[in-house]
Parts: sequence; C-alpha cells; structure tokens
Amino acid sequence: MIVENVTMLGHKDHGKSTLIGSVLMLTNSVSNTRIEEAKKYSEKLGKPFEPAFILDSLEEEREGGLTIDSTRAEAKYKDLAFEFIDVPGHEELIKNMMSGASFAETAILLASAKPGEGIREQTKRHVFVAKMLGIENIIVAVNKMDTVNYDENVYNKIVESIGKFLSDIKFYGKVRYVPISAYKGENIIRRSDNMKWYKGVPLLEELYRMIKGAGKKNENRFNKLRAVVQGFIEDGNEKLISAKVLSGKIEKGKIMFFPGNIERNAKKIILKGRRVAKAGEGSSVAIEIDKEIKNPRGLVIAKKGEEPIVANKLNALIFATAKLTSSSKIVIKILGNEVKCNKLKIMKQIDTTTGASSKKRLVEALNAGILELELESDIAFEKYSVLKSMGRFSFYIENKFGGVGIVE
Amino acid sequence: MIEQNLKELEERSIFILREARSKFKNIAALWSMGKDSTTMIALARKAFLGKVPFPVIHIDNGIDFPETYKFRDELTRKWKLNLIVARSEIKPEISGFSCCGANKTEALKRVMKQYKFDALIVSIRRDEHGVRAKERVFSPRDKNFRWNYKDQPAELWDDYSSKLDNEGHVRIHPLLDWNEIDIWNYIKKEHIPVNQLYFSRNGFRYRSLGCTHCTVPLKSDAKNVDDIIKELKTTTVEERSGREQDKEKEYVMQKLRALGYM
Amino acid sequence: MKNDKIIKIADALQKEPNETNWEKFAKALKKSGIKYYRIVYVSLKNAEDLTKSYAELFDAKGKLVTKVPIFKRDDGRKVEGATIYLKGLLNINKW
Repeated sequence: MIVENVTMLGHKDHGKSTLIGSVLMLTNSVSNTRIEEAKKYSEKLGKPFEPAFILDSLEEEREGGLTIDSTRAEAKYKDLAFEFIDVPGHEELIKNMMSGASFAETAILLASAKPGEGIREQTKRHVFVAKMLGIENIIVAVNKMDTVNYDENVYNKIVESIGKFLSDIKFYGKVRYVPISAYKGENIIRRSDNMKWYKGVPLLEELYRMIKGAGKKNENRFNKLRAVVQGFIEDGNEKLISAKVLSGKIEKGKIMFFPGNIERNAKKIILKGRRVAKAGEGSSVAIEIDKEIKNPRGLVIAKKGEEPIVANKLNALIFATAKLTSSSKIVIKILGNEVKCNKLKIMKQIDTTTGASSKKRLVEALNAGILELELESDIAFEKYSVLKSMGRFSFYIENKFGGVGIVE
Repeated sequence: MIEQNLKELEERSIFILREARSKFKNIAALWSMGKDSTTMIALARKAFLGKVPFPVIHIDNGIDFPETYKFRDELTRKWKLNLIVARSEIKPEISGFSCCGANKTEALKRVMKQYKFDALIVSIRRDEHGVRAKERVFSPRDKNFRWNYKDQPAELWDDYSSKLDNEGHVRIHPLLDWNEIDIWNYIKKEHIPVNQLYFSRNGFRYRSLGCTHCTVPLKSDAKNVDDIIKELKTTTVEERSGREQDKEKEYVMQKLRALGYM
Repeated sequence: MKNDKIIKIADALQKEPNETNWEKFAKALKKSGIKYYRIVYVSLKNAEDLTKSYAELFDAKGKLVTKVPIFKRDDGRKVEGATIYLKGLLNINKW
C-alpha cells in the first residue's frame, strides 16, 4: 500500500491534534482500545473527551494540552494510506517541526475561523520552512467554522489573506481551501449540511485528489550517478566501501571519488548480500575497489566526466532557529560530512512571515537569509534544485542546532 | 493495519545500520529473541555481508520462556552471533513492574559501562504503544540514561545526531517506520527464524513476548507465519494486550523510559 | 518406569535447587518423557517470591509427571530465575 506523508502545519490552538484524532476516528483507523484509553483519561482530567486525546499520549501533553513532539498517525482512505505528521506549533519547538516536515511533500495548513485566531505569525514561518523543505502541495483547512456560525464571509476573508501570503513567499505549488470543523467532524469525510455554500469536496477527498494528481511527478530527473560513502564494511580481510546511491546507477568499472578526483575501479558491487551488475537510486551497496581509500566517509562517487560541484564556496538559502551574524561560528553537516565555515557573508535577510527581503547583515531567529559560505575545505555537492539529497544541509552554531539550508 | 513497501523499509534500515556502524566506535544491539529484534539482526546480516559485526545483548531476568532460551542459543550458533548475557535481578520496584521494570535498566547500564558501548540498537517500532511513538531514529540518552523528550535534536533527512556527551550513548532505532504486519511480511519473505511461541498450539499463542511472568497468551489458531499475517489483517486487538505491564498507566511507562528502560 | 529418574531429581531440586542439581535435571530431561511445562506464579514482588512459584511438568499425553521450582540458589548466593533449565519443553500455560 502506498503511504503518503502529510504534514500538519498551523498553530497549536487551531486544532491540529483534534483534526488528526477526528480523521483517525472517522476513517476507523484507531482501535477501540485506544479510544477507550483516551476517554478514560479525559474523564480523569475532568475534561470533555475530544479527539485530540487519542494522539496525545504523553502525560504532560494531556495535562498541558500541548503536543510536544512529532507524532505520526496513519489513516486509510480509499486506496491510499495517509501518514499524518503532527508537528507542534510552539516557536521554540520549531526545530522539531522541521524534522517533522522534512519527509512530506503535501501539507495541510490549519487556519482558524474563530475570531481573533486566523493564522498566526508562527504558522506563516512554518509554511515558509515547509516550502523550503520541499512541500509542493498545500491544502488550507479553515477550521472551527462552527464557532463563527459557518459564515461564508469569514471563510472567504481568510482564504484571501492566506492566498496573498503564499504568493508573497513565492509558493508556486498547488493550493486548495476547505472549510471544516474538526471538533464536530464536519467536511472531513462527509459534506457538511451547515456549509452548503461550499461547493468543493471534503478535506480527505481533496487531499486524496491532490496526491493522486501530483502522482505524475516532474520527470526532470537528474540521472547522473551520485552515491555517498558511509564508510567501510569488513569482509574477511578486505574492506569494502559502503555507499548509498542517491541518483543514477552504479556499475562495475571506473568510478571517481570527490573531492580529490580519486580514481578507482569498482570490481564488485554487492546489494543486500548478492553480487549485482548495477544498483540504482536508493540502494545501499558495498563496493570492492582495487585500491584502498583512507577516509572515504562523506565522499561522493560519480562517473568520470560527470562530476558533481566541488568547491569550498557556496550560496545558500537558510532558515535560522537562532540569530545568525557574519561573525557566527557555524559548522555545516552535509552528506555525512561536518565542515567548519571559515567565512560567512549574509547577503540578505528574508522575513518568513511576509516573504519580504532586506539587505540586513544578520538573520534574526526564525527568519531566512541568503548566505555566501566559505568552508574550511572542499566538499562535493549539487544545487538543491538539481538534486535535493545533495543540496541540503543542517548547520550548528557552537554545537547547538542552528538551522537548515539549501544550496542555490 | 497498513502494509508498507518492504523494499523501501529494508533499504532504509540497512542505511541506518551502516550509518550507525560508521559513526560510532563501539555499538551493540539489544536482542530479546522477539520477532522485531530478530528481524533487526537479519537486516544487519544483509547490511554487513552475512555477518553481524556487533555484539547482541540479552538482558536476562532468569525467568524467560524456555523456548526463548532455546531459540537464543540455537540462533546464536547458527548465525555465529557475539552474545552477551546480562543478568538482571528481580527487585521490588513499581508494582506490576517487578520483573520487566527498572531493574533491567540497571543490568543494561552495567553492560554499557563495562564494554564502553557508545551506541545501542533497539528494535522498537513507532506503531507500538503510544509513548514509543515519540522516539526518533537516533535518540541520545545522557549519562543517567534519561531520555530528554522535551529537547530532542532535529532528525533532518538523513542527518542523524551524534553522541550527547562523553558518558551518554545514542540509541538507534532502525525499525521505527515498520508496522507489525511489515515485520511478519518480511519474516515470511526472508524465511527468518522465529520463536515458536508466536505460533498457536491448542488454540493459544503469544502475539508479543515478554518474560514468563508478565506475558499472557491470546486465543488464536494461527499456526504459521501466513496464518499470523491473515490474523493481523483482520484483528484489532492491541498487540500488547497480552502483556500486563501495558495495563498500567501510560505515564508510568513513560517515566520508565525516561529512566532508561526501553 | 521411564520418568523415575527425573522425578527423583525433581524431588532433590525441591529441597536443594542448586546449580549441580539443575544441571543433573537438564541432562535427565532429555531422556525423560516430559514434553510440556506450565509455570505457576504465586506473586512476584521480588526475587524471594520466586521460591513460592513452580513449574508443572507433563508428558506427551498431558499427564502431570512432577513439579520443579523455577529458581536457583547456591550457598551464599542470591535467588536467581532458572527457567533456562526447562529448555526443550513446550509451554502450555492457559490450556
């Protein structure tokens, strides 16, 4: 069965946990035991049962009403299985949200119709980061419609403002809008009688169609051989190179390791214990080469004449979780390599809540920036737009997680 | 239960195991002789050309099932495993947890210290009991084995975290994305040997294995792997409803986790 | 009778469940007609409680042959679990 990851973006109070809990119940994707456990717990707390309890299984979450970490929940719908990656909305937990968002291409963005709620600044930042991390399809679910009497005007205003924001941050993917009430389970699987003015389909159907429609992915595929070395695997007295193929195919014969232009002959390729003639994208292989390489971890394998970019300077779009200045000492982690950055130039800062850029020489926490990095040594990489797996990195400021970046 | 693509799951697990091997100096794996940890060992053999290049640790409280001991010793011989048995004491702890509780953590701490392991492979899956759903693929523990669930480092793409401090260790979860049914599908596909307690004789079998004290059999007629897979596709009974410890409050389990119990 | 030897050793175990007796038991088990076991726990709050629990041993027809403790204790040492010595037998708890 095909499992589609769906990221849940939006502020914690706008009902993400309730929505997922509701989806699980409506699609019969949660066992009675789990529901009973959640009901018992809500009784103990003296709170009325609500679907969010199904997901929140840590004690503190239940008492504080806050989802702390990425949580996944699976729901079946027609011939697809959705894995909802619920991420917390709290600002200081944004680093967790980034790891949650990083595996999905489709997101549900939850906005609240309740007066005074709407979409928060923090939600906007999440959307920005999600876009950066490869989200290509967004369904905007305007929740809590039951609190505004299912008013179409309220809905339209929110749709308009979110639409503007998405175009401001240059989101060019697919966007759809659905009015819902997660608490009451309206317009999630079944059309709501209270919103007859809404001419679209319910949320899960919208999600289903979006994912099916996106199936024919952009076949601008990069298919040059790119494999990254993990390390060694012993085979008796021999040391084989373990590597993961990121694109293209690895075959017996001449291969090159970068940086360093190291030429070797791949004598044997082993995939899951068997000798093979070649192995394609996604394969973890063991390669017997004719002459040992001392510290191969992090090197990139390619064919002669099809080299990756090898440089110690690169431009990147980054998202910082902590303030970044040109004197910040950062270390980037890319493809198993940890490289110190000698010089860092901030070309501009981008406000993640508006998409506006300014020629500031620093990047405030939770904002983005365009940087010029000069690393202490050469690394092999590709632009993010060419090959995602070789164009993205995380960075650390004095050993603390500092943010993510993509190579431009 | 949703069945996933085995090839992708297998690739990812092999990648994780190899990363662990490359990043850490001294790794070991927990082996309970259950279907998950045995599958993990089978994956390790695939990742490392037929060998398992790290020790497997059995935390033994002395009252495991005789079938489990037999399975352990036979597979250790067959697959030439480097087995470390760490004896744990049965102590009075939190009620209901007297044998499978915190004292196992003590035995584990002892072994980690003795051998100076800096990373531990644990075969938990996200679809198991709620609390485990919070774990990441690489999850660091500090020196008191505390899992600081409020401040976990980001797991971005294929970027996994390294050691937390000099005395702590990192836990590696290569099976985090697998569902129960994926495990059985893989066991079937690869003909992985499995503890016979999982199979029914006379109307009962064990769906999940703990020690003889806290594991309770379920009514079932599943006599082989195919039967089990069929049964999983139709049943909704929580996997662990045969294990009494899960009838205790979830927060107690969470606290045990925070104390280092897996 | 086939099971006389093992019954004798089981009796010795009830009195002295030390390593020597357990090893004798494990050896004799292979030659006996015992096929199944059922463990009966009285309560298990600590290691000492193990001494209250026991395992019932049955032949291929399901007839009770004898009982053994499920712990091991040598002079001056702590009580330890000893179910490993029942290796080779099959569980029939809850049947």
